[in-house]
Amino acid sequence: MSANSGLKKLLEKGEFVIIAGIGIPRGADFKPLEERYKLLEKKVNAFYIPDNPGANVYLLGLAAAVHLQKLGGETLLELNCRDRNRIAIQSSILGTAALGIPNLLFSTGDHQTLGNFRGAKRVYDVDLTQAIQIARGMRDEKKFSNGEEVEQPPSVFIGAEVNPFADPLEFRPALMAKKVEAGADFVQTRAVFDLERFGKWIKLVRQQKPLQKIPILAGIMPLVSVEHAKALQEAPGMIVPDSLVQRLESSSKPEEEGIKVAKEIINQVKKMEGVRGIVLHAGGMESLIPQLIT
Amino acid sequence: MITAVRKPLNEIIEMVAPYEKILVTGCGTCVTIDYSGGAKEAAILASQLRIARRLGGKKLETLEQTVERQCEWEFVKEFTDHAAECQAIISMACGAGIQTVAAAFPDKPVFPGVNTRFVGMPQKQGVWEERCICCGNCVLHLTGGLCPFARCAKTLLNGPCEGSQDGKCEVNRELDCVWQQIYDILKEKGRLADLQKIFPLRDWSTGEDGGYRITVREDMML
Ligand code: SF4
Repeated sequence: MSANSGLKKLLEKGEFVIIAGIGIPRGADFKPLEERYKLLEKKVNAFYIPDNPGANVYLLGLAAAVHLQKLGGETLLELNCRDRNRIAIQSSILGTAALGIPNLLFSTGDHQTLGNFRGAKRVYDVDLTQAIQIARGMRDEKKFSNGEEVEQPPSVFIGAEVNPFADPLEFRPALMAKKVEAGADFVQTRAVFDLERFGKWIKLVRQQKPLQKIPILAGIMPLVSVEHAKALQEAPGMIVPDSLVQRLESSSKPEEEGIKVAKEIINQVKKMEGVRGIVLHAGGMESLIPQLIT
Repeated sequence: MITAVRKPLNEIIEMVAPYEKILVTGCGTCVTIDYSGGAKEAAILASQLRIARRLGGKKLETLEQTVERQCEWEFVKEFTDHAAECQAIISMACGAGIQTVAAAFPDKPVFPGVNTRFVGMPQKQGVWEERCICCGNCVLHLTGGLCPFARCAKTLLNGPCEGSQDGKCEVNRELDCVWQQIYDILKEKGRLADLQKIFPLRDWSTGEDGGYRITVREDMML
């Protein structure tokens, strides 16, 4: 069985796509996932399922994706390189396609020492660019990474994680170009808070011809409190300007202010060249999403 | 060089608790240079163990001996006489030395006196840094002389990752991001085009992932 990506079709049609990151339960029960899904049903184009984010344990993303698809939602499933070697990556690509998961987002993965299982052994057999190359090879050339033939090639819409807020900024477009050369059909960014930096990155990306046709999905995360904003300032790979923290600090209703900020960011990134959609990183805060997109 | 650090004293005290006479062995090579397991450190450990035992109201006799390299049969053989007199041996060499001693004296319990850490170098006085993971397939000519396996927490080949910021590694802001450094060096050398190519999948089987490694040199055999 091969999967058909609605996301791909929407992007090809030129529509601005809205994807909701959904909070994955930390227990052996789909009920919380179903409740979160109901809040967003029909309101978004797809659901993004993070893969043990922050190097913490959540219910298997693939299981969550299959369940959400059964409920009627299209999914974009993250596969990180932290937890699986080339054998597991390839078997995951086959399995997800056979189960009808149409979209995969490849990521490096937060390092295991950043989570609550610090003593875990690392994998990182292949890196993000190589994982994408493997997926493309399986899909388009019907070949596994060792050259053996894939019996039934997987249909997969391939996404790559990119981070405009990581350094060195001037090399980030070249890194994106490598991911695109490897086979990325679209890219998804970390959460945007620093619009100036994001704008600079977009400008550099747009200077590279092969990148101009690659849809960029901008990450958006509502700030719900001053503490939340401050914690994100400390998180690796994020930039949250002090001015945003101050805005929340001086507001009597920081959560509402956070929503306002996120809406402003959405409106700004929408206007930027190459940005073809947003991914709302609001796992556990799904109730806020409808306010963000109306 | 191979670097090590002395095991915590209490751990060693506990290991040798059942014995009344032990041989504390130092190694004259790497662990002497990094002050973890040479003759001096063997003498210090031996006296610390004796004092601890005496404080507990019991006696401990120690012999100390250091050889040039504990990772070679010829040298560890020099321990034979002292070992015969003792009930147990503490080896303060790296893991290779400890195993050589354990194999050379199968009748004696052999205890590690140090924790072997990495292949590295003294960056400055009192600071040692990891430099090599002995991967068996060197790429240093491609990466500006900096090892992405020893120094990138994710052993990336197409770095930096999405967590590199301000030249620092996402794992620990005290650590430099080696991929930022590789970028800086290759940029200076006008070789950035090298980094724009995709590094292919790596064969990790030349390293520890291929099972433990044996080098055979027919030309060197007797
Ligand atoms: S920040 Fe740099 S050194 Fe650290 S894991 Fe990422 S690429 Fe490797």
